[in-house]
Amino acid sequence: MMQLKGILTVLAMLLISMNTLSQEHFVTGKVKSEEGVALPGATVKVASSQTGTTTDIKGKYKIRMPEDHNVLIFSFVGYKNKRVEVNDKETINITLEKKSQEISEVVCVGYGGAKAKEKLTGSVDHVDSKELMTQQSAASVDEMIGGMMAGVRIKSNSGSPADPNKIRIRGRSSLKQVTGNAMVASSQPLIILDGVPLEDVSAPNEANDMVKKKVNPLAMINPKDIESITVLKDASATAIYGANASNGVIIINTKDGQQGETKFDYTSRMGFSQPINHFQFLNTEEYVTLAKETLMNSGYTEEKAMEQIGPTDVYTNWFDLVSRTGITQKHNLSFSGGKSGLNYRFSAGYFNNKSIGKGNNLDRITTRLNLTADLTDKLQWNFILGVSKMKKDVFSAFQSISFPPNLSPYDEDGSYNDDPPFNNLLNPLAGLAQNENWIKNFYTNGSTKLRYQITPNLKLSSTFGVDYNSKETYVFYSQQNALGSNRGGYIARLNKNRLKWISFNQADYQLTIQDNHNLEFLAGFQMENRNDLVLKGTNSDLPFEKIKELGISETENSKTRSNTGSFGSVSYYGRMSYNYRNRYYMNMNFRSDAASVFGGDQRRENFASVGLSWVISKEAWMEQFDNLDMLKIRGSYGNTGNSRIGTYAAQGLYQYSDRYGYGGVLGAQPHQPPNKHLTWEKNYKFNIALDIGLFERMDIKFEHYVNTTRDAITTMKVPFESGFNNIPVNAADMRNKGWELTLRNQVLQSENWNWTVDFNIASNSNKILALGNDQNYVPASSYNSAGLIIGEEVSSILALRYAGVNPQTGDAQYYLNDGSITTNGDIANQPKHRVVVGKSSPDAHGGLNTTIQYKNWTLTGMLSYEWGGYLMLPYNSFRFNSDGTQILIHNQSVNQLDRWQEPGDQTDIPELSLDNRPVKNTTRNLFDRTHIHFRNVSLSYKLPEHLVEKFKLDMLQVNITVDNLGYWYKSDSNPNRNGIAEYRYTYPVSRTFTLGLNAKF
Amino acid sequence: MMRTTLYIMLSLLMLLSATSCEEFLNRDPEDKISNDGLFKDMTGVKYALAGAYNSLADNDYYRKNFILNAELKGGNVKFSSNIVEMYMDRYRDTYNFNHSPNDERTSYYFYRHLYEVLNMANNVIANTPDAKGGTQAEKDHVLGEARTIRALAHFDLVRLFARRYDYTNNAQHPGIVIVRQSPDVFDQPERSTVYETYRFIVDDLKQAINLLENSPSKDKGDLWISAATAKAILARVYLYKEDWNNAIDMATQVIQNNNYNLVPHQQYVEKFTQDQPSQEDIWMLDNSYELAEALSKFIGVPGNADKTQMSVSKDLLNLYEQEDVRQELFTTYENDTVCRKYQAENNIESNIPMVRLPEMYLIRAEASARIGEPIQARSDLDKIRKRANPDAPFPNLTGQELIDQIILEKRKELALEGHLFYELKRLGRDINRTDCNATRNQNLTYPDYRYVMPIPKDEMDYNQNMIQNEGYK
Repeated sequence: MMQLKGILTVLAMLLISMNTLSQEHFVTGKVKSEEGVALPGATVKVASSQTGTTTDIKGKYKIRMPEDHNVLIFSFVGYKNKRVEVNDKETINITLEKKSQEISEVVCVGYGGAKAKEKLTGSVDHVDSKELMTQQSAASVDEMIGGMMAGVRIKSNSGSPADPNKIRIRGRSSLKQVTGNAMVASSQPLIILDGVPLEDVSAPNEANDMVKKKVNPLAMINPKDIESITVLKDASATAIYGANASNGVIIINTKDGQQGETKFDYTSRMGFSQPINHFQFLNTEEYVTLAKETLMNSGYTEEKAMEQIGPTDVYTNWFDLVSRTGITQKHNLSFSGGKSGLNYRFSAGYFNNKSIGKGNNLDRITTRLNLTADLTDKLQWNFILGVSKMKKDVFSAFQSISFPPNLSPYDEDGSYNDDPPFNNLLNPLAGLAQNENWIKNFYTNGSTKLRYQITPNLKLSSTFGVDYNSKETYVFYSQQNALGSNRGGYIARLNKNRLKWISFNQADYQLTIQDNHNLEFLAGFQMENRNDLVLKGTNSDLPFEKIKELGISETENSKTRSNTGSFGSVSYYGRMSYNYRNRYYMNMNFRSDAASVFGGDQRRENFASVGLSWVISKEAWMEQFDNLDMLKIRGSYGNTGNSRIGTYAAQGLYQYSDRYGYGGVLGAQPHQPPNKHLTWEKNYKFNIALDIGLFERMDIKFEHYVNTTRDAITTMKVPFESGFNNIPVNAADMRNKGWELTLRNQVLQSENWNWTVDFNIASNSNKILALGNDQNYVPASSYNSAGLIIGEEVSSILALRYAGVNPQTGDAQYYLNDGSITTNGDIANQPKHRVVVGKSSPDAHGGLNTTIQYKNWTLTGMLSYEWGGYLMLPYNSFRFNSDGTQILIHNQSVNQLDRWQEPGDQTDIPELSLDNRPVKNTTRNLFDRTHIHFRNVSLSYKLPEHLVEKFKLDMLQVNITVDNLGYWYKSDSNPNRNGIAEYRYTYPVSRTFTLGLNAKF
Repeated sequence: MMRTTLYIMLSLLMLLSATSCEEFLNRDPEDKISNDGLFKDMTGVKYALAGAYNSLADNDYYRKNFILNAELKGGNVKFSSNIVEMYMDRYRDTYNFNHSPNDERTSYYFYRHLYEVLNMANNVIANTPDAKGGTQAEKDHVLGEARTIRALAHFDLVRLFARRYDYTNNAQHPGIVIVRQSPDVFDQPERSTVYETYRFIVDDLKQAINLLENSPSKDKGDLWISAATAKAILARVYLYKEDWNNAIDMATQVIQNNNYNLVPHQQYVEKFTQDQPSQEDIWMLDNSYELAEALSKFIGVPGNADKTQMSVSKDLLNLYEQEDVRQELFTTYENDTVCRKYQAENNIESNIPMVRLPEMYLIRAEASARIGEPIQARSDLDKIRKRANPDAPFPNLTGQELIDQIILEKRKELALEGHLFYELKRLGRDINRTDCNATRNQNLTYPDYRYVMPIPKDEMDYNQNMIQNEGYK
């Protein structure tokens, strides 16, 4: 009893004290929209308390601020929440902003489907045209997405805009080629442009084999026409694409017309490029010193050595001779609009690039038309046609930069030097002036689609798409220089035509039961067909060089060859989506594929996936967490496949040849064994993820995945009794495991300022789980640092461990597999001494993207980074670090100046001698490729409206951009020596300054 | 109602599209032909058979290396002083009996190529019965030819990769992998015993003889396998198997065949310098399909090259008597002695002698001597000796002396035709090379393990059931 009394007393005292201490504080005000309209029924809450009210019909409110609370939260459906600090203010009027696109954003999910982000169960990344604005200088579409999305990695091979880039989504899910002729499935993602799958030029294909120079189909599309790029990563998102979705799917949609007046849009850009990170060679004095030292170490007398080396007073900088300031020009004009059921957009673009290497020019014209017409109330027609044309001049300018600096490109009379070595190797200046080498490409990508809305719930659609490419390659080597002299002049023409069509018909049906159960169904059927034709003609011993066409010399000097290929596939697909009160989602996909590459029982394969998600933040009990806008957990599991292994991979084939005949009878001999077991690579994808939205301005996405590849295809050796020595087999199981984190943060937002930062990071680890025959597969060639080893990464690098230079003798030393040390390069070079020393794929990679807007000024910047991962010195650079052995043929890297000269010298570079046997694949030549790539910075200014109106324009913007600012490499410490920055690309990369102008009217 | 419409629409879609789906997916390449497509009719079968014949005339078989292997190891041939580094490197291990399972040139290519030949022969054997068109006689002839090729390749494999027949009692030591049909690429086949291997070879040849005798083909010349070819090869196989009576029987059947007669003494040299099969050639290989020089560049008269890479050894040259017409086949070229059996013109090599009638006489002679019928043996030996040297005295020898004389005669008669080393191994004789520039193993004592080639490492790695030959690691 006493106790109760005591408690009551304490409580009463507390209440009294609170009342007396707090000054009763009310806040009043009005809540409006941006347009100034009052918002009735908006919620006004005191943060971290139960106190709250709603606005009245005029948008007014009055609320009492409890003690120790200082923050009010205003919210209204469809508008962004706003937090305001009260700080003793008594009146607070608030303007709420409409929710940005971000939250209600719609993304593609394949086969015409589009879903609000919130409804997704799969892993999907999406970039729209606004975000792509930061990548305006990109020449091809794939370059635009580098560093933009977690887990998507773009590897540029050469830096030339028309060459195919490697795109890897969540690592490599097919095996890599460990020997030159091994057949592996393509690791490129499936790319779909307006519903039509693009050709995978990296996929093995008999007809491709004749074509050395490949043109990136994405380089034939104008980046300005892109509306959005969507990357599908997990099973729930990709399984509807079944057989070709193992490596992920990229869906590219182009812009279409919008109802309303016709709008014109013109952009013009002009850029200048300079080489960066170019390889540093010895100058003439250094070269002569090192060459002399090398020869004298190899037993030459000084006199003999100098005779061998040649002139000491010729100073040729080969790099300067073949490089120049690159110039890029771009012009785009588009118009779009829509009237009474007809929407249209047309664009034309011109691109011209003169790259930093002389003789490399690219000229491209792209056009694109998009029409949508309502034929009747229920029938809609859509027509898209892209036509583009490109011409590219090719010259291997930088192949010549290693000629010795004491060699002159000219004879004394000013003509091109054709004395040795230019009798065998091309004098680049002669090549530029006398030879021709170009590619012309004509590309059409288009589709026509009919949509029939039978009832509000049921829709049928039929799409027919075409992808046609015609490529012409032409080479002319004059007999006046080394490339043509030994064959009396040479002409080669190669034409490749590829026609692909795809047709798919599908039905979409949706229904809602009892208001809470929402269901969507999709069922479809697809056929795809592809035909290739390659025609090649060559002609040597040209009687004269005025007419540069085939067939002008005797028939025996004129040869033709052709090759054809054909591919077909037939697929069924379906999707079912269900959700309960927009909180619990389920998504199931099914696909059945049959492809002509496989035989018999293996021909058809079925794929399926299921995805689940739960929008936790929509639960009633979550409402108390004001700052949490979105909390969603999702997971998926399913399988996809990969059939891109060539045209006739599973068939037993014979080939005819006039060399296989006998006794006057035409002969045929086996070409490849029947391979009835060969089947699809399958990829089982598991994904779990968390989506979080905070404070109305931050999105966090975390994903974890485990992708297991089964039956990965590669060429393996087989017992000789089969009559063959190797065959493509479903040889390996492999796993990719990793996580991805994406942060999108609106750091600052006010009337004048807007600052966003997007950051992403991804980590992937790969492991080979099993190999056919339980055998590790390590090629016998010592020049190959690749290998497939059970338990190791697929990108493992196999090399010899370098033991440094013996300070007493100056010999290079290597560890053998038994731990002993040898100085004998021949012994060291045996493949059995190589061990796994690293891997080429990074531990983690990602990008950072920021936009700062102040009034009419916008500054954007972008970088990407990688850490972990190694690079084995490419052969090209190895020749320039030859420890003396190639010094008479190639100028050497400045790093060779640090060679061993006398006992006691501590260095990694041995005594220079012609007799050295340098080993390429050693840890001496292994580099950590951890780096940051500063991709671009751009500043733009939008002219004030009153100025623009004078010119009768809607908008006028000018900008300046710097692309490829530079690279930072962890491992490059010595500024006067070559490092990974110089070694990484075969030819130097360039930095580009661009001035641009954009007008809308 | 609505749902019904949906179902109708959907099933219509599926139906329309599912028609001839299989046909849509069956794609044939246009510049190659699927196995099924090739073997559909007899025309295709004949192309495949021609391809199989062609594979016998491969550099890694009778066109070059199988012959050089016999002659370098046996001691009929040595390296020329002019040999270029590349060829020295290529043939050094053969000459030095220095084979290793890791060697990817010598034993590797024999093993690999001979099984490629077998795959081609087996494809013909398996598919001919169901091929459209052609008479039964035509099909039988093709089958007989393919079986002969199959038996020959098995025989050559067992000569290279296994011990001689009498190495163990009843030949129970490891032979080779027999391929009755092309094994699946995933099979892990096992070696049979030498006994089983020979049984298979003999059986194949017997069936071939049956098939070929029932379907004599008039239009095919001596570049194609006939019943006599199969019999001649069977006689050779019996000799290696030491089945003397059957060897005599087979050799006799060929000798009694009126189509074949010894070329007379006067035309002997001419026979070798003209390209066409002569009356004593039971089978020659057409060697005109590869446009490059082969044996002529090594031990023959080269057409283009200014040097030969090898030279006939004194060990062989000293065996011939002054009056022996066979001496005239040898000529000096630069500082080397070369043999006119191999010549090239416009990069086309002369045809390759596979079986000649004199071999049949010598087989019958040796087998007869061994079963104690020296009269037949002496008569056959004398025939071959007299043909080469009409003044040669009658060989009044018996027992081992007679046998030795026959074997010596065989070395002289079939010199550089790819027999010597295989014969020495069959006889269990030591290798004694006097005029020799090998740097190792100039002499070898039977039964050194080097008489047998190693199984290539790749085969060991990828066939779990393969057993390596003794002595090789």
